[in-house]
Amino acid sequence: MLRRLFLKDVTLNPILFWGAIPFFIWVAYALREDGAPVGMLMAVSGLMGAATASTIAAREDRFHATALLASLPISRSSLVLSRYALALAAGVAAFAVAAALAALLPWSPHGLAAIFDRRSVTMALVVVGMSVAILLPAALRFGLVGVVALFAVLQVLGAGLYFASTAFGFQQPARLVFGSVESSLLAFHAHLSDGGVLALVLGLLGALLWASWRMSVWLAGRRDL
Amino acid sequence: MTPDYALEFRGVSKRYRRFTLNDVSFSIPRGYVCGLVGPNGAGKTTIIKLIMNLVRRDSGEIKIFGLDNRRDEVAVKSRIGFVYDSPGFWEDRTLETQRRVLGPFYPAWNDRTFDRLAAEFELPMRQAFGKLSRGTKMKFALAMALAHDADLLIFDEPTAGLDPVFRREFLQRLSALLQDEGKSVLFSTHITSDLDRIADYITFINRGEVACSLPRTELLDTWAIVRGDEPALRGLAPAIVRGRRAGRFGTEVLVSDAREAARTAGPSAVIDRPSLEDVMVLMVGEDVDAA
Repeated sequence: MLRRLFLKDVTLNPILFWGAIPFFIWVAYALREDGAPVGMLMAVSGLMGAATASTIAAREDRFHATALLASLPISRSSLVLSRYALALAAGVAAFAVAAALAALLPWSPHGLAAIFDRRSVTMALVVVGMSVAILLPAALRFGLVGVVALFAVLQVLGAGLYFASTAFGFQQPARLVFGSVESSLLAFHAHLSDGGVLALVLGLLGALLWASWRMSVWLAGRRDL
Repeated sequence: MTPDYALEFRGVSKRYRRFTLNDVSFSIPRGYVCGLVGPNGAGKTTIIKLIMNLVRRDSGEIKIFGLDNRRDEVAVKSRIGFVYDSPGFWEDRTLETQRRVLGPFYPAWNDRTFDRLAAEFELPMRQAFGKLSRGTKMKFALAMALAHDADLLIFDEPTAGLDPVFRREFLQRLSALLQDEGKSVLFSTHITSDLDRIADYITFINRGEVACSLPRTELLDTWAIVRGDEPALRGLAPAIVRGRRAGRFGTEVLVSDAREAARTAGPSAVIDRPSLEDVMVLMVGEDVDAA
């Protein structure tokens, strides 16, 4: 059933994937410089792939396809699971395309060691996993409105964080937030091996995705179509 | 609960902010066609969404072939064919692609049946769904609904927005398809003439409640419209009055017992057999309690 749903999403919504071509042209262009942040480009590619696939649910809402899908003999939990599988697969596929471009384009100066650096791969996995875990519950419960509202809420939270932190004397709130994440990871790293950190990150990511999936199943079950 | 019913609604309620479907009960015996009739906004689409578990009921019970429509959702839906007012297919994909992708979700999907129907309906299988006329879209939805040997067919306003010629053709084809198949059908419409030829049972919905649910022949044979002035209608027993409408040339009263009405109405009253449209118009016109 999952395979059939996966095939359905890819076959009936190809326009979303064609839309990624301009993005990869930009990635190919950006890769030409020796100092280009190749790990960041691949992580952003993964994010783009996962986010695009996450919005399929929102796209299908526009022409009532969500109601049609929910009328087929498929449980809602299977439908939700297929969305997660597709979004994660699209994130990994987009990462792979960016990596292939970095490795194969004649003007790319980046070697395989830089492309498949453990830190870059871990960062890409975290970015893909977190974007799927955050975006899909909103998209599945509220459709396009949910995705737009989620971004609006994140913007407001960012602005709120900025004003709150400047009011308390911090001049660079983003650095404060990411700095605290970084220092936590470094603290873990000091006590664990590289493999241990990777296992910890993957475990946390898996737990986050599992919680997000359960929440999405619950939300989708309560949605009136 | 007897499995001889294709569909059973028992005390089903659903509350929205501005509309409530209240304590709805009716049933469709297996192999019969039931017309779900009511004005726009009466609650017909909500009933269909409840059957398909697209909206959650607040209370009550919905059984399809004896199975709970929520607990046994997948098994129930594999036995249902549906045609919605807004069909919901992918606008930019061809009919062929959608048939190939969506059909296999049904365990009993039959490509040969679909091909036969597609040929009969003259469906342009290589065209994108969004480029088709509304009539052709509905024919495609009908072919998809009929190609997996569904036991219960659910139609939600399939003829709304079709021109009269196309509407007649659509109904003729539907009628011919249903004739020998022994399918159970729930056909929701506000165009009562759609049901004149095909419905065995009629369920009237008004303001979120079931106004009546009974065999069509019983409705048309035993119910009546009594026309006359107020003195002529005064003797009608309130228990048989189901609707009333006052006009410039007198009053029309819908009664559920033509014989009783003939006995109690004044001599100047005129008693006619009602059409389904008469029944709907008079029921919507005024509540029984107020009559």
